[in-house]
Formats: sequence, C-alpha cells, structure tokens
Amino acid sequence: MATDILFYVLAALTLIFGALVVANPFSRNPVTSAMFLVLTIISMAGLFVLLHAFFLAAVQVLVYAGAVMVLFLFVIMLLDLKEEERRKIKLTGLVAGVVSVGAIVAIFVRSLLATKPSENLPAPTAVGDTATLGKMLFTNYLLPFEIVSILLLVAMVGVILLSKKDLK
Amino acid sequence: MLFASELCGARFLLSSLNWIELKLAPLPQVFNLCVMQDTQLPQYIAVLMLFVLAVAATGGMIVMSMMLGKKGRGSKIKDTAYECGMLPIGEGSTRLSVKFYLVAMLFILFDIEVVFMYPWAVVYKSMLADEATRNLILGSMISFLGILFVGYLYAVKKRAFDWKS
Amino acid sequence: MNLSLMSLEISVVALGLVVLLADLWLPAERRRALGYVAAAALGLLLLQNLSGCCSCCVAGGDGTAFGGMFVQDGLSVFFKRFFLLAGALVLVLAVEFSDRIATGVSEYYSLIIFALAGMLFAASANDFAMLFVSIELITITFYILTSFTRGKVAALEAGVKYLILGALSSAFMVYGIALVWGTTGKFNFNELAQVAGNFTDNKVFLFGVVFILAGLGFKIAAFPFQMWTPDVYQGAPTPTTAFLAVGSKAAGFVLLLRFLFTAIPSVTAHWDKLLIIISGITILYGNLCAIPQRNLKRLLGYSSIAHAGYLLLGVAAMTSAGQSAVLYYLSGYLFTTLAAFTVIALVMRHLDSEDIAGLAGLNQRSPLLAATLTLAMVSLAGIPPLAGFFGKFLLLKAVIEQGAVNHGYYCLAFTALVGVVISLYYYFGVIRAIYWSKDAASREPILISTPMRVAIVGCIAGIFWLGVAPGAVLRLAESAVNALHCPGLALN
Repeated sequence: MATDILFYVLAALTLIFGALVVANPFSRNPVTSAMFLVLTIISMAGLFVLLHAFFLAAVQVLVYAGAVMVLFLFVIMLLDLKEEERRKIKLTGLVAGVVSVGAIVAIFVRSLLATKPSENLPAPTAVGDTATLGKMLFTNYLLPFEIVSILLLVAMVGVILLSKKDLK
Repeated sequence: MLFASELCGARFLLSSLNWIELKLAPLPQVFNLCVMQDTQLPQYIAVLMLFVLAVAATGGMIVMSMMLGKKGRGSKIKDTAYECGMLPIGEGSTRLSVKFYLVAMLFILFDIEVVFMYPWAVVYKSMLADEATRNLILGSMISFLGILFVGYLYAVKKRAFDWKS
Repeated sequence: MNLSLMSLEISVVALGLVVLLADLWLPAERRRALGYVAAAALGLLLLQNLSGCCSCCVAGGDGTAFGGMFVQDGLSVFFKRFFLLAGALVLVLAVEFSDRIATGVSEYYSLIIFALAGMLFAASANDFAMLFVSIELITITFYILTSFTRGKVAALEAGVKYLILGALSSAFMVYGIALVWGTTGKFNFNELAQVAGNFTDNKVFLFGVVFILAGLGFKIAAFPFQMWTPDVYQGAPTPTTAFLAVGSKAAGFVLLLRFLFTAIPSVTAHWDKLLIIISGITILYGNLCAIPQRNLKRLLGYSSIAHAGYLLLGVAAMTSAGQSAVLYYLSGYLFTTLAAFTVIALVMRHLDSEDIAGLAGLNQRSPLLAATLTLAMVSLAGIPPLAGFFGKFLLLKAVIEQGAVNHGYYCLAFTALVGVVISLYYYFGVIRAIYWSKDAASREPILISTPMRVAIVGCIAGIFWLGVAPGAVLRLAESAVNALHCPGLALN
C-alpha cells in the first residue's frame, strides 16, 4: 500500500531529522539544529496527513514550523550562542541516560510485541477534517477549549511580566 | 530475555530484518490508524508532489552547481570581512534585544487564538442551523475571545506592543 | 448544558480577570490592598459553598456537565473547598510578601487566582482532556509564579528547572494518554472504567497508564519524579512555595485518586506492589535528604516529598478508609504547611536566605510566630494531639488493615514509622533554633498585620481542630470518597 510506504518513509525522516536536531555530527551550530527541527515538524505534519488529521497537519506547519520556529531562532540570537563547544559528557550521566532510555524503549517494544493488533476496537471512521474537528471542539470539548483561553491569557501575562524591560 | 540469545553476529541482523517485516507491518493497526477509507487522502498527493519537486529542484541546483561550477580559490585573507582596511573585530552577529522575544511570543499566542477560530468559522453555519447547538456556538467563541481580550488590554496598557519604551 | 454546576469556577475566573483589569486602572499604591479584596472574595465564595450544600445532602448539588467531562460530586466539592481555603490564605500571605515584588503585584494575585481556577477544574476533571488542560493551567501558572521575582537568580533558576522538568513530565503524560486512547478509544473516566477490565493484559495500554502515572507523580513529587522539588521550593517566592506545596500537590492527588479508582480500578487492583514501593521509597528519600538541610524552605521541600509518601500510603491501601485518610491528611497538611510558610515569609523578610539560623531569638521577637512554627513542626512530625498525628494514624491504620491481604503492607507501615522517627530529628532541629540558640541576629519585634494575624490564628485553630475533634472533617472525607467508588451518575 502506498500509504504504508509513505508512513515508513515519513516516520524514518522524522526520526532521522529529530536525531540531527540534538546530535548533529557535522555541525554544532544551534541554528542548524533549529532548521532540522523544522524538517522534523514538517515530516510529522506528513504523518498527521496520513492519519487523516488534516487540520492538525496544517496547524503543525503554520504554528510550529512557522511561528514557534521564529521564536526559537529569536531566542538563539537573543542568547547569541556561538558554535557550542563540545562539552565533556559525564560518564554517569551518559550511563544513566542510556540505561533509562534503553529501558523505556525495551519496555515499549516488548509491550508492542505482546499486543495483538486484533484485540482492538473497530477502526474509527476517517474523521479529521476541519468541520468534524470543529463540531467536536464546540460540543464535546467545549470546556477544555474555554480553559485554553485562560491558559493563553496566563501565558500572555507571564511573558509580559517576565520579559518586559521596565514594567510599570 | 527476548534478544539475549540473538544478540550475537549476523543472525541478529537477519532476525531483526525479519522482525521488522513481521512486526512492524501491522504496527499502524495497533492504533487503529490505517484501516480507513481514503477519501480525502488522494487530495494530498498534489502536496506530496510539490514537496518532492521542491526538494528535487533545490537539491538539484546545489548538486548541479557543485558539479558544473568552478570552485574559486579561497584563502583566509580573502574570506575576512572588508572593513575599510581595518581588521574586523569581534563576531558578525550581535545579541538581539529581548523585545523581539516579547513580540514573537505574543504573536504565537494570538496565532494560536486564530487557529481556534478557524474550525469555528467552518462549523459556524451548520451549528447555527442546528437547534441544539444554536445558542452555544456564538457564546463559546465570545467568551473565548472575551477572556483573551482582557489579555490584549493588559498587553496594550503595559505597553507590550510599544517598541520604543 | 449545565452551567450552574460551574458557577464557582466561573466566579473564580471572573475574579481573576477583575483583579487583572483593576491593576490597569488603579494607582500603583492602592494595588497592594487588592490582595485582601481578592482573599475576601474567595472567602465569601467558600462560605457560600459551605452554606449552599451541606455534607449530608451531597446528592442535591451533584451532576455532570459537558458530556460527563466535568463532574460535581462529594470528592470534587471537598477539594474545591480545600482549594478555596488554600487560595484565600495564600493571597493574604502574598499581600504580606508584596513589598518584595518589584513589579506586578496585582498580576501576582491574579495568577494565584488563575492557578486556583485550574485546581478547581482539576477537582472536577473526569476526562483526559480536562485532566490535561487543568494540569497545564496549574503548572504553567506556577512556572510564572516561581520566577516572579525575576531579579533574583535563584528564582529564575527555579523557574527554568521547573519549566524543563514540568514540560518533560507533561510530554510523558500526553504520550500516556495517547496510548490509552489508542488502545481503548475512551477519553471519559466512567466510560474507560467500563472497558478497562478488558485491557488488563494489554501491554500497550498498561504502558500508557504508567506514563500517565509518571506525569501525576511529578505533580505530587513522588519518588522517581521528585528532583525538582527542593530547588523550586527554595528558589520560588514564599507564597508561591506555599501554594505549590498545598494546592498543586492536592490537585495532583485528586487527579491521581480519580484516575486510579474511577477510571482504571481493575488495573489499579493489581498494582499494590508498585504503589507500596513508590510510597516507601518516597518517605525514606524525603526524610533522609531533609536531615542535612540548613535552608528552611529547602528542608520543607524535602519534607513535602516525605509527606507525598505518607499520602501515598492511603492510595496504596486501596480501600475507602485509605482514601478518606488521604483527604483528611491533606486538610491537616493545608493548615500546617501554610502556617509554616507564613512564619518563614514573615521572619525571613529582611534576610537574603532562609537559613535556619535566622530563626534565632524568634521567641523574643514574636511569641505568636514562634508558637505557630513550633506547632506546625510538631504537627508535621506527627505528634499528638495535632492534625498531623491523627492523619498519620488514619493512614497507618488503613495500611495495616490491608496487611492481611499482602504482607508488603506491614513492611510499608514499618517504613512509614521509621520515616516518622527520622523526621523528628530535623523538625526538632527547627524548634531548637527558635528557642535554644544563643546568638540572635536581630531582636526587633516583628509586626504582623491584622489580616495576617487572623490567618495565622485560623491555621492554628485548624491544626488543633483537626487533631482534637476529627469527627466532622473525617465524615466529610468519608462521604467524599464514596463518589470514587460508585460513579453511578448518569451521563447527561
């Protein structure tokens, strides 16, 4: 199936680009990392399209690849990071990280193997377009939607409080 | 352990390839993902084609210019910035003011607000026609925007949009 | 749509908006008193809530709204009163603290109120969407409240640490929710409870549940997820720390209780070992790490980890006796912790750090504060006849009752007792610093404003009341946890 192939291609791209964000062997430049993050986000948008979450895919590109990445770049320039020098990685930290990540991955793989696909519910119908999403959002999920507005307000107040130079 | 016996030699490689074929193929179905009829998906083929074309065009240009173009001979002196004969001091990039961050952050917050308005606008007409949801649809967006309007007022009064202060 | 159920939440959000707007037009010198107005408003809401529906006729105000997403039952009413009381007391404390906040005093008040609104929503959350959104409202507000004194490096460091670890834990939780939804297709807790029994063998489902527990464990500062606690407690402004210790922790517990016992009771029943181990390690870790601490807020941070462990005793017991003990213990913890942080905020006002040595001579400077802090420490240590003792007694009783089922419970009870004995050492170190230290840095008496005095006396009264006459609150707690076990409310 074409969608299956696309799924694996996009998933692989997401993983590769994601790895390049944090551990790029060719460049330690934070801006390069940020650009790879854009690529990660775009391949994830492709995965969302395959999941029929079309609106989410568009938002992913608009908000994350567009707006949030601009913010990332601003912050990088704000901090004026030079090519980050290669830090010495502490052995204990490395071992702890490898062990914990390895454990999580191992448990996850084992649990995936132990789960038969058939024991799941019947597949949901292909919904994910904007109209269906809107209907869900403004009937079933109305309350979380309203709370999100408080959340945005809090974030707005917070960002002004914490970064405005001379606040009255 | 599952892998303990297989961890050695080429057998591991072979079995892992085998494993990918066997186990990974039904992976999407574990999460009920893939078994839907594709009604809208084909519309996105055009997007995919455009994406592939864009990558091919830009990548092709870089590769072609590398193959066809003549490499200039660079030297360290040649690469330094020209500053009227003076030796350049310091880095080319400077620190940005924190004001940029403030504006970008506020932009994102209002951007997300608009993102929520988009599905609202799409369903507005149909939900208005429905008796059950008629009173809900306008009120929900008004209260959403009302709360955020307080944030807007706050930003204006605190001169968050004022570049000079 | 049943909006009248949510009148409390709507009023609290409206109060926050009014405070935020009032800031814009009030002259700067009158903003400080806004905190008293807000605290009084919260007190009025609490009184109205108390008189509106008494404990015995909980059924009157019950119901669900938004398709079963928002549930109003005994448990949520109990926790809502708890949060309102905590919010009002913290606001009074914040007014006292406000001279140390350079800019944005009224924003501080309104952010506290918004965090409170998040806690109120958390108390009623019966759905993963609500769980996530309310937790995020609480946590994101606390990121800002933590680094509010932005001129201080310690506060900024605490804020950044809390932000990064909090974002990580949220990511784990969202991933867990996605896995649970992916396997069961249910978002609502009651609906999930109906099908969860079929999924007790589904490893992917269990994996998701573990991740959700990790996210909630971060909120309550249980053992493997406790790293942030001491630094954040130490660096944050004192009212923030107080609210974090009481409100955020209680919100984590109400969500944990609802998730474990309403949404996935059939899974929880198999997980006694996990809960026993986490609870035991949390108690030991918190108490052992608290011993060498010299900073009072950091000490209380470690002590709050230990108390999360004690509270988990009641969760691990998995009986309604244990759950009502959790609620009871939290009520005692509310008064005790707020009293302790109030004293810290008042005494350490002119000091840079909150070192225990700063308490020297407190007995002469202000006998009331000395007595308050002593009572708070004694109650936290769990000595009769104060609130902490009776709460610990109830928790241990619930655990030991379960010992017949699984002998691990006896070990857990023993661990908790060991923890209590360890904790005596450092709590009494604090008391020793108050009464028996030689060199007092300052001898000037500490002035306490009238509202602050009322709040302190209220806290002391609460500590004694819960210790001596536990009947009323215990009955409330018992009727509250009934809601967990018979979620028979029809979905409307």
